[in-house]
Amino acid sequence: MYVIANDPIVKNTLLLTNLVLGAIYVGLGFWCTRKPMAAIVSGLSLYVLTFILNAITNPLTIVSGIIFKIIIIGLFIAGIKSAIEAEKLKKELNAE
Amino acid sequence: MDAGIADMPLCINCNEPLIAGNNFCRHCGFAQVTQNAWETTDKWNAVRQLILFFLIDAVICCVASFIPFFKTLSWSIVVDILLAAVSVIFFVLNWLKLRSLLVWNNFSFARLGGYCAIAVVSSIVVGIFIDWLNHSLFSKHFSYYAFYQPHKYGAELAIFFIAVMPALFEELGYRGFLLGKLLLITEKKQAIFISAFLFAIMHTSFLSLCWLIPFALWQANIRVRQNTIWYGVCTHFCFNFTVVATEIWRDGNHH
Repeated sequence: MYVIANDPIVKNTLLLTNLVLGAIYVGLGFWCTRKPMAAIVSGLSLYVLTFILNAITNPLTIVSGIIFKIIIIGLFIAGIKSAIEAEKLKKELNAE
Repeated sequence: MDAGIADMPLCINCNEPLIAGNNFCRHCGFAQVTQNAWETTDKWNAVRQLILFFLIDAVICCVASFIPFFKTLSWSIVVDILLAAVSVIFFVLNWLKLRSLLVWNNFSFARLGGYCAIAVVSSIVVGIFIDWLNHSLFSKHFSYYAFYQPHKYGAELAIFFIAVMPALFEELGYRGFLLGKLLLITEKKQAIFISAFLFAIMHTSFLSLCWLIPFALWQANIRVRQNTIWYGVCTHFCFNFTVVATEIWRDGNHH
């Protein structure tokens, strides 16, 4: 999108948006080791919201890279399941 | 000896006898969590409800914000009613677990006044900051009221749809249902953060994240500390009402 955009304002907005998104994901990635549930749920919701926004502005993005999208969402869900298990174990073992 | 072994509980994985009080089998190492299996299922069901709630809200918000066809007063009212209905439906589906949040325990005028005063002051500060940001970055003035102004009873409509409806139904949905469910799934701090983050990104504005996240964290803290949504409803109303009232006063003076 950045490459094909002609308007410099659109270009800069796209660049800034993707940089902010990238920074948020990096932050969540580091935070994930300390608060896995909060980081994974936040990451998944941000990913889903971006997916919906892209689908509205350009419906073709629904199918582009669909396999990767399914894998990423699947991994997020597996992460939530693991975080639930980890919190249960922590509670049982009374660990901090 | 045999009678002693017969009385011992058995491992749910390998059927070897367990030592009383042990959470793990000494033979195969399997965790003995059958009594908590319902808890995991319950948590997973809560996650699925949360995902469904978020998906419905996200689709409605994105469609309303980014498709020009829906940027009319009639559609805006339909969207607000839909969002309100979603919040009410999910809250009612969990009525037994969440109904206690509608009770106003230990009501205090002083506490309410304090919270509302903080909301009004922070709304004014945020308004000035956002105005400055919009001027600096986009060289334009943004007003929520401008959308309702050309219509008959524009000011009343703006107050109702910007201050009253979100205060009631966003609190019911996000601090009532969503935070209530998250508190069943995870610890308090994580639940508060997740609810605040989801509330903030649902407004689909990057610039607003810088004040929406702290505001939502504060709202969620009030809800957890007071165990009712009513303080949140009042502070949310005061915050939004200050924004609309300032815009009505300013735009009225300009005209």
